Amino acid sequence: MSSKYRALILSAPGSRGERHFEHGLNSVGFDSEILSVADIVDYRIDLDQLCLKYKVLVVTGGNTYSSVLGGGKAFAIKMQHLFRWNLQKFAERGGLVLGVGTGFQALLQMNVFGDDFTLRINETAQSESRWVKAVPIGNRCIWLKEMGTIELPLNLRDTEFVIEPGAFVEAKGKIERLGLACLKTGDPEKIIGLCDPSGRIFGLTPHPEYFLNWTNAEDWFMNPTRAAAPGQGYAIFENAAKYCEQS
Amino acid sequence: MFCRVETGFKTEFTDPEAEQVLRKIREIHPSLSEKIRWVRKLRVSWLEVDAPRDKVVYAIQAAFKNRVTDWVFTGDLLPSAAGSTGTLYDLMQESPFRPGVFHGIEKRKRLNVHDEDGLVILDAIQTILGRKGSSDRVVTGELLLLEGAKLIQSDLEWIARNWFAREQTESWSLLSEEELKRNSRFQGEQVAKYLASPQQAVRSRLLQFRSPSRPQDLPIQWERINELLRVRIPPSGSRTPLCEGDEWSFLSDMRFSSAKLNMESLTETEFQMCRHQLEHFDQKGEMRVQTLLGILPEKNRLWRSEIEGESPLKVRDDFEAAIERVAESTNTPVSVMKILEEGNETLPAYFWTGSVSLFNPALLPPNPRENGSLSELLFVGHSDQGQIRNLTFLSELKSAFRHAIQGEAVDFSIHASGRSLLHCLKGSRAHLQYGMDLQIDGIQDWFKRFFESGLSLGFIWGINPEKRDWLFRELELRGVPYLVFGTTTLTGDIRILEGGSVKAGATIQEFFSAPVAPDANPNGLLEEPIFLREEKKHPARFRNRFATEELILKPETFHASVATPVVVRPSLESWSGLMVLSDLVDQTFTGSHLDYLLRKCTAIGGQINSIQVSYLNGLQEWSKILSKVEREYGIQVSEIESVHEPEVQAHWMAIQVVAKVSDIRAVRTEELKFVQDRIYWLPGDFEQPGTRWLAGFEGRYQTGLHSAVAIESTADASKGVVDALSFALKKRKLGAEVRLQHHFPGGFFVSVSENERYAIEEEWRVLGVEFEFVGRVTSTPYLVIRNEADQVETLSIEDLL
Repeated sequence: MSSKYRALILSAPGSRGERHFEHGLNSVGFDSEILSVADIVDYRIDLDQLCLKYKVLVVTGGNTYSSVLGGGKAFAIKMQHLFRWNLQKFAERGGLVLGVGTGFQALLQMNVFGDDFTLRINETAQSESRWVKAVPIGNRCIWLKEMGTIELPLNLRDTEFVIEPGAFVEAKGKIERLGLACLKTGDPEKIIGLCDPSGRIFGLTPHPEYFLNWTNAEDWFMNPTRAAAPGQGYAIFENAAKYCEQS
Repeated sequence: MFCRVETGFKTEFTDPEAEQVLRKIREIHPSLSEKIRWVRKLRVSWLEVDAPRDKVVYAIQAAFKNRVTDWVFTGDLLPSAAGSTGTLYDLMQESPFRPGVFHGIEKRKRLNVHDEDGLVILDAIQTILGRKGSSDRVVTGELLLLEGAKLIQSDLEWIARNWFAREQTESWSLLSEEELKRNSRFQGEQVAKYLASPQQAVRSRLLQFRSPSRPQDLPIQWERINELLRVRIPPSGSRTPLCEGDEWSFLSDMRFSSAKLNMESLTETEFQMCRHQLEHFDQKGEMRVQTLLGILPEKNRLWRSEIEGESPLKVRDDFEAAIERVAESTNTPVSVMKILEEGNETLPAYFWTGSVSLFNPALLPPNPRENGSLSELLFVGHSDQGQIRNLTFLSELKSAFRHAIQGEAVDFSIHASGRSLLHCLKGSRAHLQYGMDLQIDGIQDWFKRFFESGLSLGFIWGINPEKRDWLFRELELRGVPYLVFGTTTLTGDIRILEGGSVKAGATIQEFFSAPVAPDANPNGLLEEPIFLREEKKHPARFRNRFATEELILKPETFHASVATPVVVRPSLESWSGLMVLSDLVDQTFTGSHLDYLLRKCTAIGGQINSIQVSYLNGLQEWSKILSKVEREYGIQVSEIESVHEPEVQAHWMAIQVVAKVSDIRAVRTEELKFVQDRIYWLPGDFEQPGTRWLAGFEGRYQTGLHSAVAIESTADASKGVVDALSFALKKRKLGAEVRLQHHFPGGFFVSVSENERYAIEEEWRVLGVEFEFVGRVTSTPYLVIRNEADQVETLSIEDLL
């Protein structure tokens, strides 16, 4: 696969997993680049530059800006008010956006999926570190094309997906109608991922970048013959690469 | 614009963070947790943003508002973002026990504490606004909202103190239910309270001070005043008062350090340097040599007195001689001011230092007119202690002082800082010898208190009535508060008048008969430094009769200052660090200086035992730093003496840190003890890194050292070096194989075990310590020497001795 498509991995103070993203994207053929918030300002990458240079934008997770003002909020403010990026326009021009963990929160805070959704702190008020099994819903999302049930690691405090109570029915209907809810866990049913109507902007709470190899799984040794196989997170990056090749 | 923002979850949602608080309290204090029936936590931010209101509102909305889950309480800035009433009442509705009894505990980061959250919020707001204001500030905190009918104040204080707030970095306060339901805490003044810098807080009080005179409701005890007019006024409190300002430095504007003006200044280079300094500052004024002399008790004179018969007094005389010599060549008159003279030799002082300042008579007020002409009495300064740190105010005060003198408006000036009004007046007989009337009509309440308690910062001036209006204009122009409170008279009486009638009075003789100078407080004095109280152990002596540290440190004991603290070892088991500080040499005492001294005294595993401090016109600011050390490190700080001598015109402080070192004897002896130890030569006078390393000033591996033998510089190796080695080997009946192939110009032979050699050699290389491998210790009592011609010579140790 050629590396003519460039991916931008956006990092901020406190973010994690940039190197994993770089490895995942490079291994499916992207030419990825990690840039911090300060770099974006220094290189003056505005929306036009972003669309021109990059095909994929990854908003990393972690404890960005110490989660002051809520997880991802300060990160979202930087993207909205400092870089003046409009991610919907980036997607309209063919770009793909992936937000993971706090990065997903940042996308929600930017109202990329509308202003009726948010993530809030879980009941234990502590960071959850576990694996979640989820089922992709709908076929709109480019990142999840042709994928079945997937299992990914979760490491986040704000895991509870909340729909504005005042517009609950309407918002829920929108999700169902447009097929925005891309990932749902089982019982009790919870939304852990969301994509926009174009299918190009995708956010999820678990971290696909930490499951690039089968050996990343907790119980990989139960199935040692698959030790050399790629992890399920890898498939998400592969879908992005395929889309770029086809478009 | 000041605003306060509170964010919390809407009532539809639970508050897991608050539940966590409750869980923790339940674990620590189960009975208290039973009293708490409901709890919520809100994040609070206090903001000062230099932007128009509409933009601030927009920024708050963009930064704090999460439409789905949160309410944002801002008073009246964003009413739509809160609940129906816009107050915490909406949140209280969620409580299962209504109407309920609600309490609030609020905490916020203290000023000058690093507030990471605040910085992120500030950055976010400035990003939204698209610009940075120099005065923008944010302080963050939290508000705990509790409901419990049985909760009492002590319960809430317990939660705040033991669980909710960290008192070192956060301050907290309790809020009543009424306060929580009202929105007064969102008002600008309330918000500014937590954002104001100390200087700003002082400024606000300054404005308060300048307001027109307020009603006089402070009763004056006239009987007491009448009595005070005739008796000696005791110093306030049990301690000698510390000075609260650097007012004396107004007089000597030109100052420079005399750090090098000691014995060594007789060398030509030093002499030229001093001369250059004096010529540079030559203002046709008079130089004053400020000499602070500290004398070690007889039995503890470590320095040169033992052999050379020189005392610290001699050193002081040398210093003055040096100054005079320099002054002669620059044609500048010298007056010497001596403090702690010979008569004070019994005092437990143990340092010596000196400074030079230029004294310009043009900056002094003229002598009081001898015919007793009338002057008005004016207090100029501030009642607020905080102004001492307000550099702008101090500079204005200095400027006003100079201007007033140049304009011949001031007949005399009395330094009033730190002393009570009557105390100041009683010490100024020359100015008030013909009589004085104090008019207390119209003076303000704060001033009345100063009949007995100390004035904070300022002067009492006798002013020329003809220049009165001009002077007041000048003072007002500079924002310097003043107050006229009386006049000098020719009646021969001291009178205090109110409403035209005499409320209290005394004759001049009665008024001035009692001595005025405060005594040094004897209670806090120690007879001698702590280390002398213990039984004196005989230190190991080398053949040249000096212990290692004495030899090493000898040259530095002449002068101690912040720049060059002295660390001496008065006995084998202790370190003693000395530091002298004076504002005359522009030294600002900070925690880092003390930290430096403490580190020096903890070399080779030293444990700080105590800190002893002596003040001469000490500043409260210094005392605060030391109290902090006492509080935070648990080191006992004893004040040995505090002398108040306004005539000295400077502030001095001496600190001694005493540290105990338990194993120094094992670490460092003059004996070569272990077979196969490697012997190295470290060259060395004091300036060389080798000797500094030996003294423990630098490096970490001194503990690996088995012995150190000082050697003298002698031309004949067999006399100096061989003798030293023989003595070192004698006791254990060991021998050594050494190469003595060149002249050894002094320094030390040190022995190191084979195992430790790599670490120590590496440290020497890193620190730039010169070293040379000389040989090894052997088990047979012979000294095998390979000489310059590479010939081997074997000598019996016993024969040598």
